[in-house]
Amino acid sequence: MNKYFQAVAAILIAVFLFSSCKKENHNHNHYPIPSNLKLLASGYAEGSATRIDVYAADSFFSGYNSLYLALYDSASNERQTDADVTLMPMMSMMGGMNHSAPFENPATAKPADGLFTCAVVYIMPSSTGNTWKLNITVLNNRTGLQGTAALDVNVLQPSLSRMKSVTALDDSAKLFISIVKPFVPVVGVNDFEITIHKKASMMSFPAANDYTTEVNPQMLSMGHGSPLNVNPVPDNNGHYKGKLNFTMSGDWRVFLKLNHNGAVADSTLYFDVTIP
Amino acid sequence: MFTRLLVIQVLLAALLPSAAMQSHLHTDSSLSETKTLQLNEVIVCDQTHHSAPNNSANFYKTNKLSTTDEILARMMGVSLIKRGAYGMEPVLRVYSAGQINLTINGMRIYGACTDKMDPATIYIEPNNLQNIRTTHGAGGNETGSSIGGSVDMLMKQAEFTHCRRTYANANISYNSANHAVNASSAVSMSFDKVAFRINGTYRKASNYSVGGNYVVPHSGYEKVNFGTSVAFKLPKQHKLVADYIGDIGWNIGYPALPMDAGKAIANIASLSHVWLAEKRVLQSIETKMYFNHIYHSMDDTQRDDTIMHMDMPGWSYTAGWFSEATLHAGSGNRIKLRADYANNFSRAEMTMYPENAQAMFMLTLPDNNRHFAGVYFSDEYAIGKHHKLNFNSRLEYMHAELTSDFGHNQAAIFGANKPVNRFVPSAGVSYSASFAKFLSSKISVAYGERAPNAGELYGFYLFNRFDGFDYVGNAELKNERTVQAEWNAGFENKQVAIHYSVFYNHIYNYIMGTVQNEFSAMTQGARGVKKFANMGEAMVTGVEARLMVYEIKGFQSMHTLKYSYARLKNGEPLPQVPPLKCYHVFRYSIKGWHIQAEGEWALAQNRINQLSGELATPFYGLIHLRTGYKLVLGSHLLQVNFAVENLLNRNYREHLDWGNIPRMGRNFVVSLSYAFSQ
Repeated sequence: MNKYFQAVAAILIAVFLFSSCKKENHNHNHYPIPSNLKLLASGYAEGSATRIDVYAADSFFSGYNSLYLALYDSASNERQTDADVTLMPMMSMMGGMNHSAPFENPATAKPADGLFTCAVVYIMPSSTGNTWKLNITVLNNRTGLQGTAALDVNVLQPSLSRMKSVTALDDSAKLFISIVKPFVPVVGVNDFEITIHKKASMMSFPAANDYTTEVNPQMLSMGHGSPLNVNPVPDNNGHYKGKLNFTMSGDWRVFLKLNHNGAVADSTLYFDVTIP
Repeated sequence: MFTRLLVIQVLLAALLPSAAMQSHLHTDSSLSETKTLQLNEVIVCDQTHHSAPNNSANFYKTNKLSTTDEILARMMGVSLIKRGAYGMEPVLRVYSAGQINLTINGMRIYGACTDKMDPATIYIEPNNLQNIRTTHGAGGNETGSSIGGSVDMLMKQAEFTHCRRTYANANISYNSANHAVNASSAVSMSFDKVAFRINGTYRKASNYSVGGNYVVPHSGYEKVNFGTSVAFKLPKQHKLVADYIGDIGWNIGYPALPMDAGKAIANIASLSHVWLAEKRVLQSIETKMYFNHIYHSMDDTQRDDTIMHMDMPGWSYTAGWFSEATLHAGSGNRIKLRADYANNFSRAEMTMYPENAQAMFMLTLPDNNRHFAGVYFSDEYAIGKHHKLNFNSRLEYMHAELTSDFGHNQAAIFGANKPVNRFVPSAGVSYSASFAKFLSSKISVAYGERAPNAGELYGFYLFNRFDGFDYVGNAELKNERTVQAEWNAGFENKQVAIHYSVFYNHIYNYIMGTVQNEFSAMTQGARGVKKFANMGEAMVTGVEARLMVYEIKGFQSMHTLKYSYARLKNGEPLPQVPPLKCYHVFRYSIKGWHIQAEGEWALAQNRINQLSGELATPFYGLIHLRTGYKLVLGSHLLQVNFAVENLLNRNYREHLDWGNIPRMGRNFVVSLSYAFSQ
């Protein structure tokens, strides 16, 4: 009985070791894509022998889009996780004019989870005659090959704006203010994160880190606000972080006042938010 | 202030008042050696064979269909906060809500309405009641830790009797001022091994009219109440009793609040085991398991001035257990031990429906669970014939926590999403002495604490119409603590009894709302937001007195006085402190007839808490007249009563009444009762 038991145990251990080894081998180049992400676009960066899959939590929309890029060797279909990736969003307008948008390149060439995290702030939606392309240049550090993919991107206008532009009162700068968080607001405490970008030219939208903000959520149908919000303060790269409190579900309007060098830059800005 | 050494049992509305009136003061047999000081127990009895005598029956319960509120209002040291014609909240001296214990047969029960529209007293009818016992101060800690005392409503249970085994009654009454019809009935039977009792009450009232003859809108109500109790006699002095009370009220108007109660439902059930082993050291053990459930929903559909329709339902579930034992450890040494546990879950929500917009939802009281576990010990020790020492103490542990993610997230705004754990100790000692057969005196000191209640910990924009502020909870609140002293003294002979109590309470960490100027109110029209906070020290002092003339040639009389004075350390008066109030009752009985004249008056209250937006209340004086006739025909008893309350049709209000709404004007009451016992 005892021997029989030992034999069974030995077989079980062997099977377990074998199967786990196999898994290890299989996983070596495998970085799973989180299930909450959707594949929104895909294309080849010609010259770099790389296919780029663009993932995001939602569709492309006008506002701050967090994007996750998965790179594949176009021949072997293996994941590529060591590459310099740079973005260039481009809108071609009906009148023949082109302009870019604020964007954030991946912070690292070797992302730990294999996904290159980057962002684009689409400053207007796609429409007939006004089309967005997302140009992604890849320098594959393993092969030394470089190329650019030009992906067609359909940018939708969300029912509640997540991005607004204002002309600053103090220096007439054109500012783009986008909500990064909360993506789905809840009753209670929400991390509140926004970005501010300045239009320097049609092709350049640098991050603006020198504003102070005052947030004031209001429930207009009731005429009340919410307590203990934290004004977003500059984090880096044009991001500002604070806290946003909603005391009940329903329709809220989040007023956001911008100050610049001690002067009011804008006091008209607001975002409407619906909490289900 | 402490569990009384001495008890006068005041039988209310015994259906054979002749017997009740003629007999002398009855005291509990075990406690009969000493003179009485007890002003705090009212027995609401309808069993004719019970006819324990009664001196002030008709004072407390003025007719067969008096409400629990009406009985409480006349008890010593009890006042009521009035928000509507129905559902008044008891106040012991100046303490209410979380400061006092409200129990039914020792069972904890918590209302489900965040606006305190439903203190547990509204779910009990006098028809369900044997007895209401109030204990003032921190000594009222037998059923739960408190600083203000306790109100325990003892239900009428099925009882085994040897003679008159069948009892039935039916009562009906009409009130003119609100066109109210009240009806009640009860049947009880006792067999060898089984006894049962069933009872039911129905009330329907329209809006009431006040002195000056206008009608207070939204002051009507309608309800039914039904109760049953079954007792099983087991061998060797063991007994099992199952009790149930159901109460359903609807369209209950609260003129002082922005909403009425659309529906209020209570189910109160218990199963107890009693073992009586007299003549041993261990005298008795009672164990009870209980469950009660309350659903309460507010309704604004009857209001014209509603800006936006909203639904505000609330739920409260309480389950618990207790065991208590009494011991005789030598002659004159009575010990009581009790262990209990209870769990209360409550939740209240609000949904508002703006036009053309998303519905708005919040939890005004996020789902929360509170657990209470306690042990209680008291020892009453007689020193010779005329002296007694009493010691009581309770240690309670409370754990409270939020149980839903939604509630957690919401409470996180104020950092109130934490569990709260508290030890809540209390203890008291008293010394009493009797002299020369008719003088008695008692001195008591006590220390008590109470943990904050669910609303104080986790409330979320609870609107308080009294001061017009939204209240938010504070999970960091410290226990409210008190040190108390009280002196009772009395004189009593066969004709006259005089008793009085003088008390002083010092409160630490007094819990009150403080204005949060930076917060904006949630409720439309609210003045702002207050957060519960410990306000530091406060003091309460006062006096209660009663003079009774038992019976001299058919003539009886009773006079009571109650007065409290309370302030914060900075001199600011505490809110909702009743002014001096007195009752005078004169009764003359001859044969089956009686006639009774009552005077009721209260001084003005000008010591008001400004921050609460409290209004000063003027003096008022009222006269009530009552008369009745009863006819006994063998096993049958027929009784007719007629009364005029507020004879002079005064337009008045009591200081604790909310919303500056006057009380009922002249009210004619006629009632008819029939009882049968055999």
